Formats: sequence, C-alpha cells, structure tokens
Amino acid sequence: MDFPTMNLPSASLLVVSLALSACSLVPSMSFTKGKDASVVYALGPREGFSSPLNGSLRLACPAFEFKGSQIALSSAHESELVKLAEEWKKDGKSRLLIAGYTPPDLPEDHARALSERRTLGLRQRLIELGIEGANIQTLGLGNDFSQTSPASHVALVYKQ
Amino acid sequence: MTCRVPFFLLASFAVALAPASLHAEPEVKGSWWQKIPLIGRLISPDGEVKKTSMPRLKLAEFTGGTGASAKTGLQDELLASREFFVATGEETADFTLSGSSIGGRVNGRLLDKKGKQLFERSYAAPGLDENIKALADDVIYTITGMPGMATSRIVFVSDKSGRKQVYVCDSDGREVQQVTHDRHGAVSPTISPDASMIAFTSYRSGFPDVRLMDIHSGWEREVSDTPGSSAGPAFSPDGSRLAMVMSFIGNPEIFVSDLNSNTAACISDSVGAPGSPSWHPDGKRIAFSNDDGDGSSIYIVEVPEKEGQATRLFRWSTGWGDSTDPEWSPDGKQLAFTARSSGQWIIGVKSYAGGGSKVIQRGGAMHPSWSPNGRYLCYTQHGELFIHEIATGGRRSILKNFGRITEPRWMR
Repeated sequence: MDFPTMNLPSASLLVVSLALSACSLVPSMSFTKGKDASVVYALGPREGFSSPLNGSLRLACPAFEFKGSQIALSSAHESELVKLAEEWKKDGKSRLLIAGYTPPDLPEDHARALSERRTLGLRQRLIELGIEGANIQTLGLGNDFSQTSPASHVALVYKQ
Repeated sequence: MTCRVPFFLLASFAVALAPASLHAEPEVKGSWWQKIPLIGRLISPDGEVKKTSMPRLKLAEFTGGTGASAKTGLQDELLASREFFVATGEETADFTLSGSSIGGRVNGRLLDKKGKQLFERSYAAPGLDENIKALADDVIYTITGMPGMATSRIVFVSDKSGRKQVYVCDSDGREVQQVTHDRHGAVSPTISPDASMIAFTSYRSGFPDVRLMDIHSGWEREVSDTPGSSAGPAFSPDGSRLAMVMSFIGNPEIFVSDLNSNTAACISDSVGAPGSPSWHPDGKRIAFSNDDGDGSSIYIVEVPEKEGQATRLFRWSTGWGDSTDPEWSPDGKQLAFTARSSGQWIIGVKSYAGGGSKVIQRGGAMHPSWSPNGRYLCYTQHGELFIHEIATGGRRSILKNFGRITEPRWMR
C-alpha cells in the first residue's frame, strides 16, 4: 500500500511511521457506513491557528447544529458548507478553525470525542468541496468550557 | 498542501459480541462459606463449624511516646480495610503486629503464627497519620497480596478555581491538593500504577494535548504534540504506555504510546467517536467507548505485542444504551461503566466477558473507577465525589462543596 507523506510537526514526539506500518499489515474488515470514507485527510500543523480559548474569534458562518449523538452531516449542513467553500475559494488563502461543543450533561470524555468527531466530519467535507486541508484545523472542546461556551451540540467555524 | 492519508484498516471492527469460547465465564473457586466476608465462624448446613479464610490479626503493644496513638490509628485503618479480624487482646491470631512510635515516626514488625518475622520496617514521613497508613497498607499487602487503600489516591477534576484543574485526594476525600495550574484548564487525569506520575489533558496551548507530570517534582512533559485533539490518557498496568485518543490522522482513533521510545501505534479503526480507553490488568486488551452516531457503545480491542500483529476488536454489550467510561476491575473480571437508563446516567458493573450485570447507582452518577482492591468504586454524582462498596451497596460522599467534581480516577 502506498502512503502519501503526511506533514507533521518536526517536534512531534510520535514516530508516526510505526503507526502507519502497523496499520498496513493488519488484516481487517471495514465497518464504514454511508459515503466512501476510504480516504481521510490528515491534519496539518497547528502553527498559525488561534484557539477560541485565547481570544474572541470571528465566525465564518452560522453554527452547525447537531442533535443527540448525530455525527453525520445533514442537508442543511451541506448547503452551508458549499457556501463556505465558495467563499473560501475567492481568496484561497484564509484559514478556518472548527471547534466542537456539547451540552454539559454528557460524560466529559465522551463529549470531547463526539465534538472532535463532528469537527473532523465538517473538515473532511470542506476538503472534498475544494478547501485545502492545511488551511483547516479542528478542536473538540466537548463541555469543558460550558460556562463560557455554547451549551448545545454545535460546531463553530472560526475565520483566522 | 493537502495531506491525504488512506483510511487504515487496522483492526477488525466487526460489530459482534465476543464468542463465548474466547472469553469464558469467570471461574468461582472455593466453597460457599469462603465467599462470605466478615464472619469468623460459620455453621454449615450439616452443623459443622467452619472457619472462614479471613485471617486474624493481633495488634500487640506499640511502645514509645506516640505508641498509643499509633496503635489506635492502626486499629482504625486495619478495621476499615475489612481484610482481617483485628484482635487487641490475648486471643490467638494468624499474624501479630507490634512496634514502636516516637515523635510520629513508626516502626512496625509483622510476625506469622509460628513467630516468623514477615517484615520489619520504619516509616519516617513527617506525619504520624501518613506513617500509620503506609504501615497498614504494607500489612494488608503482605497478608492478602492485595493493595491496601490507606495510601491510595484519587485524582479528579474540579472547577473550584474557576477553571477545570486536576486535584488529588486520599480515599477519605482528605489531603486535597491541586496538581495543575494550567492557563485554560486541565482535564481527564489518570495516575500511574506507582503513583509517581499523572497524565492529563491540558488546554495550555488552547488545544487539547496530553501531558505527563511527576507528582513529587512537578516536572512536566508533553506526550502528544500533534495537530487536532489528543485526550483521555490511560496508563498501562506496568506504567510504560499510555492509551489515548488522537485525531491527527483525520479521524479520532485510540493510540498506544510507548513512553520510553516515544512511539505510538493506532489500535482502533473507527468512523465514530472513540474515547475513554481503559487497560485490562493483563495489559493485552483495552476497553473503550465509541459512538458512531447512534449512541455510545463499549468495544474491546487486543493490543498488538509487536508490529504487524493482527488484532481483534469486539463490541461488548452492557445491556444499556449510551455506555461509556469503561473501567476494568483490578482482577480483570468485571467492567464498570456509565450508561443511560430512562434518561438518567447510571453506573453499572458487568462481568467480563459474560454473566450478569447490575446497576450500582442511578440518578446522574458518572465515571466509575475501581479501588485498588476492587471492593469499591468511586464516582461523581451532581458534582460530588462518592465511594461505594460493591458488596454491601453502602456509599458515602467523601468530597462535596468543592466546585463541580468530575472524572475521578483511583490509583491502580
């Protein structure tokens, strides 16, 4: 199997090649649902991206709302994502940070995982719509900042 | 530059129950009277008087200026452990503990029935209480082979300071200390088996990263320095590896990071939201939760021992919906978890791999964690920290009015 090179921070403590080689050798079955998910897009370096925790950021579009355990994107999400991708293509340079939030009543670790999964789903679709992957970073905050963050199942896209 | 990575097919994510042949029902050994705790002599159905397997420990003289206080404190600790019958009179006993205490220092000596010395140790921590607890745990471990609880610690998260930070306390909810002082907060702590290190998720950079802290020196280092989110670390039983969630490959997945070589390998293959990894005591399996859009379930994956080894992954049904936060009992025979029942969060325990399950606590209880001896669970309920005795169902709040407490984890 041919693996394209991933662009990871040089300071990373992880030897990713070990993970990749291990992954390639293990026989398994996929349980992928729905759309073809045979290709996912690795995240680029975080340098140059600002976290919403470090200051107020400008939203690039309305919030993406999710219901319950929903992680799949809806048709409402799709139309907003198409608009966002078209907007991005006007300059082709701007950076986007997608941050996921959940209500405070969920178990904390599950909330983090769920919010991160949603942001990565949005990122994947934006890349498929033409935005360069290195310009999108994700952040799953779950309900860790429920006093100051949205208290519902949403993902917010911030323009950097 | 666009980074494209194939969707790795690492482990069989066959959504199926584990075959019965793979995980046999836990074997119950011993005759009926041995399974009943806290009763010294029992009369069997045929009228025969039987002794239980619970040892009798005689607490003999403790000399020195603080000897009497030491003896009283030891008696309390040893009785609370429920591991022995503690005798202070002249009765015959299986073990005898004696010693001395001067100025808070404690010297303890444990003999068996034949008078053979099992150990003699000195404890010179600054406080008498600390020394008593250390001696009590050594006595418990020497006699039962199980770790005591007196010196065990619970790490947890509280927003008392205005931000979520990691704290540590003893098993009575006392000696609370703040461990992290991160700019934006720190969450999901876990404590190493030797209690020297804490791993946690830090928001210091504005993004969730996993960090490691030496409890005694305060020295810290970053374990993950990757894009996306890294969270939810869990120490392996030998303390040399961390399981955690990382999303730098474009999907959140469970990774196992070797702390000595700083390498990591992905052990899951999910299109959902995996989280809350927990190691089996044998270090060969990890339970974790995964939500692929229709509620969270618990999965068990084998950890490859070497590169390229095939691993299996199974869905493990708890019998309840939205199951998450799995944690294996110290003997590996049960899993505790958080689940949803009738719209409420509950704590459940189920035998691994088959057998019955039961609800331990309803009404919004979350995030169970086993005591080192497997007799208790700690968990949070409405921001309060509880410990709960499995056998009796008795529970008590050990810490409240300390902000909102979440994510407790008992030292293993």
